[in-house]
Amino acid sequence: MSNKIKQEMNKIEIPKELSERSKMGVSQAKKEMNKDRKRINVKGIGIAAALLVSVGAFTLFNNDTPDGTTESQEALVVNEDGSVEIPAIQLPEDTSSASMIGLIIYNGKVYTQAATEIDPEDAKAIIGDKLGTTKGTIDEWSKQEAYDEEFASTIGETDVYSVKGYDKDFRIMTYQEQDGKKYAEFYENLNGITINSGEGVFGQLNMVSNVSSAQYRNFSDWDNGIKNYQSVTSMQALNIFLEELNKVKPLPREENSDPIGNSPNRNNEDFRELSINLNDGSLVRLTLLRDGYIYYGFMDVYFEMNEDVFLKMWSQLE
Amino acid sequence: MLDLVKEAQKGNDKAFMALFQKYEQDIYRMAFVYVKNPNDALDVVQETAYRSFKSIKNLKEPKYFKTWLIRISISCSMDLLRKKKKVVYLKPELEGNLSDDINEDIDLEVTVRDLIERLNEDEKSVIILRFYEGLTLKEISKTLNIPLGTAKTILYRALDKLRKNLKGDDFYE
Repeated sequence: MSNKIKQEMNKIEIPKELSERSKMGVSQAKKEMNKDRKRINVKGIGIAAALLVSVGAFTLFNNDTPDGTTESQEALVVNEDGSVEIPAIQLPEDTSSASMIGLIIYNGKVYTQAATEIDPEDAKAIIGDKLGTTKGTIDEWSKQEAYDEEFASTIGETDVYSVKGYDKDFRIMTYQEQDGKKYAEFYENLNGITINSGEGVFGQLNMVSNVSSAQYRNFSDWDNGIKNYQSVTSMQALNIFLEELNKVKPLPREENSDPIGNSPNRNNEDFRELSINLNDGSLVRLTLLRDGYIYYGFMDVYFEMNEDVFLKMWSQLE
Repeated sequence: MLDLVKEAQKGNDKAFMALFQKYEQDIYRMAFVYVKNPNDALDVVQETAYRSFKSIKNLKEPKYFKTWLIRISISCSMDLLRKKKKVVYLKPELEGNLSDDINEDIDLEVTVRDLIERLNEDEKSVIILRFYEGLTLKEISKTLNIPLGTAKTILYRALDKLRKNLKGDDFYE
């Protein structure tokens, strides 16, 4: 099989101009390398990076505007003040090649499956107002109109609620009881927003002074799905860390500036998954890298923390 | 090779070209499988050269040059597909509980066209990296930045599709 695929791939003819095109790319880069770019526009790259790092999640982006031009609104933009604009997810006209997972349209915004989990029993206690019922109207063959509808979704029919203690512009919840079993899931709107600091994301998670326990695991356990968690013993260090999270600086993820994508960071020394249980039963999962970087969910940005505070936290994870 | 990477990181374009040209045919063929035509595949090669030279200074470990370059070329292919076709890439939550011994040895009559037409983008990535580039599943999971279990699942699914394709109703094609 291996040889067969290689043989077949090698049958793809190499055009004469191949080397010429490589050179053109390099010389174009060389010309630009001396220029100072005040505004970094990483058109599409963050999106591609998001694809590559999707872990059981997905990206749903469309790089083209209806008139076929590419505008800055689709791009991840770093402003001069350091804030990062994450473009609104644009729904596709043609999804024929797509496989799809959880998203809900609510208030004209796209909420996607969250990286924070909730136990269905605990979910019952924080159910807010019923917002509506999803329609399972989006599938691979949907037309654009399907996405304009409120509560259009890829998750079939289920009831959607606000969540007590959380802003519904940020988080909503599906909840269902079926055959005696309960199902609950958070959905979060992490696109079409500008992130100035960690507060825009971590502040929404209500973690400060709200932690019941926390644990961590190393890279290989995470990678292999092994539930080998160690407890975080110093709540003080954790609380200081969580407060500092509101001040961290956002950085756009692109394939060359995305430390989690660097193989050297994907090892037991440099990588920790930190799971934080909150008093309301929700479980926030963060990824920390030794160099001071923090990731939440499947966002197109990651965060960098002040070294002193970070290292105190990191020492708790070793 | 490591010396060339270091030279390229200092901005030496000739050193970079010497490196890049070792891989440009691989990049072209991989791109072809994603974008399905020579012109777009050439655009991907040019864009990959452009992006990689611009950012090679950020490459921390020169020994990972090849997989780093492959990642960039996959990104470029995906970007081009999105621009042209408005394709979306959604990944279902994948269960990673497969056994380690995925059967890769069945002698399939696979054609380039099967790869192009039958597999979605993430399946193409895994199949190409596994069988064309000869990467291990572990290396694939690192290159694509996905958990090992997910890489296994995608490989299993892709092989399954290619096998079904043989048995299925498309034999007249």
